[in-house]
Amino acid sequence: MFLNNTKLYTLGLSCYYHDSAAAIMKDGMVISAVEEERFSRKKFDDGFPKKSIEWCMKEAGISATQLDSVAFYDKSILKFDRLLDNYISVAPKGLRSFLDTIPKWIHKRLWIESEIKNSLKEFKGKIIFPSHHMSHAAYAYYTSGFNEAAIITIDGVGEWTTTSYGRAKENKIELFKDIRWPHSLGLFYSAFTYFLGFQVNEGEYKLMGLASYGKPKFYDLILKELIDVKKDGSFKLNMKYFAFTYDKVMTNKKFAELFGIPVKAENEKFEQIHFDLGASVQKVLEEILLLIVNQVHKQTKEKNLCLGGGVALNGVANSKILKEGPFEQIHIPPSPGDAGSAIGCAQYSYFTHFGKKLNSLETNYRIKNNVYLGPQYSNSEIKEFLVDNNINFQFFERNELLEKTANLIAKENVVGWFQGKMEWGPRALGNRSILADPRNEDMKNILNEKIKHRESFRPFAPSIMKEHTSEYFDTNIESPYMLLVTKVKEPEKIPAVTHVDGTGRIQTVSRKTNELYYDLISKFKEITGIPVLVNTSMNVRGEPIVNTPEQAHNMLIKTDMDYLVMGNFLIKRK
Amino acid sequence: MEISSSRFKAIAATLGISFWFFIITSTMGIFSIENLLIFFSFMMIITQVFAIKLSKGLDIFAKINTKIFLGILFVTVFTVYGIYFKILKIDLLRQNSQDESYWITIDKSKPGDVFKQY
Repeated sequence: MFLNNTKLYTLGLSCYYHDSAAAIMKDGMVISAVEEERFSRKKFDDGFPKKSIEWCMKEAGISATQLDSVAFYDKSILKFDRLLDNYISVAPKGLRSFLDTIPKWIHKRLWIESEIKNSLKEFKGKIIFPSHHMSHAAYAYYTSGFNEAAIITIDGVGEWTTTSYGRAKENKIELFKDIRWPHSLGLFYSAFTYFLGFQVNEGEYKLMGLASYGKPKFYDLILKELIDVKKDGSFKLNMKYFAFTYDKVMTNKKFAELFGIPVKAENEKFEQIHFDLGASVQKVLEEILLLIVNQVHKQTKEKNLCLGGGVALNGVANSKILKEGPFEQIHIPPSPGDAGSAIGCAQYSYFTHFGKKLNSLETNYRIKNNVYLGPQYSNSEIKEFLVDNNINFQFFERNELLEKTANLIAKENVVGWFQGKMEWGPRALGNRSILADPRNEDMKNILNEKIKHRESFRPFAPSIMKEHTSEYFDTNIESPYMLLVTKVKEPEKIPAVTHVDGTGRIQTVSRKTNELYYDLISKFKEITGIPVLVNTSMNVRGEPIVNTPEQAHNMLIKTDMDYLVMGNFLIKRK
Repeated sequence: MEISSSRFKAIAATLGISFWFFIITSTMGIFSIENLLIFFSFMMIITQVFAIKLSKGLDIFAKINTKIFLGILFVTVFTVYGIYFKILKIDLLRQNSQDESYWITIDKSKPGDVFKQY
């Protein structure tokens, strides 16, 4: 069954929609994973992840001949079948969308098997294709550390499925029920994302941030007109208002007429009605998710829940599920969207298809292994870059470096923090981060306007030493992947990370998961008494998070960031 | 089309044009092997010299052709089926309202299904 008897290598791939990625597993452990955008520098790159594959193979130190299996995260032909059925259903509408979509399938997407074989010429193993939602489910479950759990996956759409649930027990996953295209919670939320002037698949988290500024005035109207929700959490969209089945846009004229405003242009100013619409759709989403988790709990009687799919990136809804839902524990992996499925399909291949045993890992080790999986650069590589480019720098030993950096942050400098392995997933979790002082209320504006060049309503996230979580936030639950939003207890102490509604999207940091970052926050606490730092990803608007020292240094040049710390080197902005 | 090499596309174009040369000269009654070989050699040189430009042109041509073909397919097949399905009230996209629930039971997959893309 396997190509060699010693180590088993599985390559997982996801691509062609958004967030292409590759991941490689060795004997059931993910040893490297990266999104293609980090190499191509094209945000949400959806192309075949050639560079990611090359890097993963190099990192694993193997050639294609040593791969036992390659897993692709969905079933392309089923997806194509859905598209054809869809176009038959909406015809004679849909010609423009048909002419735009189908050539992509004819030229590329239907030939994924050949593309994989061309890319890995010496590969002799099997290629497997778990379903899209099974890949989400596998990623959510196998990264959770639970032996038994209920699973819910919710996203835009996979092959046909948009929402599914099931159970996992002792390595085996079974999905029982689903809701199918075009009735999708992900696309329902994306429709409002589009309507409020954001890019679909990119602006959903902006919508979540914007929602806090409004009141859910349209809640009843949305439930009455746009979506039919049953008591068991199942739902059906009223397609009279949505255009995504036949057009390249998400909503139609009737949708705009329902709310009495046109689609907001990207550069148009926000009005209160936009905030209220955001608040309304967020509330509807949360209510439906609560109904779904209650239904799934009733069906499975499990204590633990694993949540997967892009909708699980909605930290506000996740917190509501945790607080008001029936499950005792919830696990959401760091990259629950399509990129994460590169790991999910590889895990499905190894654990479910090949029936290998899942070893339980110590919690901190598991968290670390779920996140820090990308490229890293040694001190000598960083120094070589700095010397070659005549960049002035200072070298500090570890403790000195932490002391110096913490002092700089405490003096209200904005510091780029480039250390160790790049994070997997959309969040920077202390290795490709921009750090700042949370005590300064103006820091939000400084970061938004001068560094990140992004919308003023968007909040910044706090990283907090795990043991201090309940002192500053209304929770004591670990949130290592920054996927929970919770009330800030004393907003006046950390105003820069307190959103307008008094909440923060927290990252809890323990010493065992990221020692250097934890020690830096600890040093900041020694100086200021506050065990919290502002943590935002090291990228500017429209660009992916930095990968290399060169890209990090470009951030220093392009923005008003004051200092950059790369490895043990400190670089000051000229 | 885009993944084929420019040189290969140039050869294909030469063969195609030479075929038309054969048809036209035969129809006009002026065909000869010598003329065909001269024409073929000439076209081969020209297309190989301009292989990259020709390749780009052919890619655009292929895209336009694909769109025309798909447009005709949509109008003649998809629209006709669409109307037919509407008349027969076949609800492919599950637009009909249900009283109790919209959950659908997922069929159990067979072990071999994982190797299939469908």
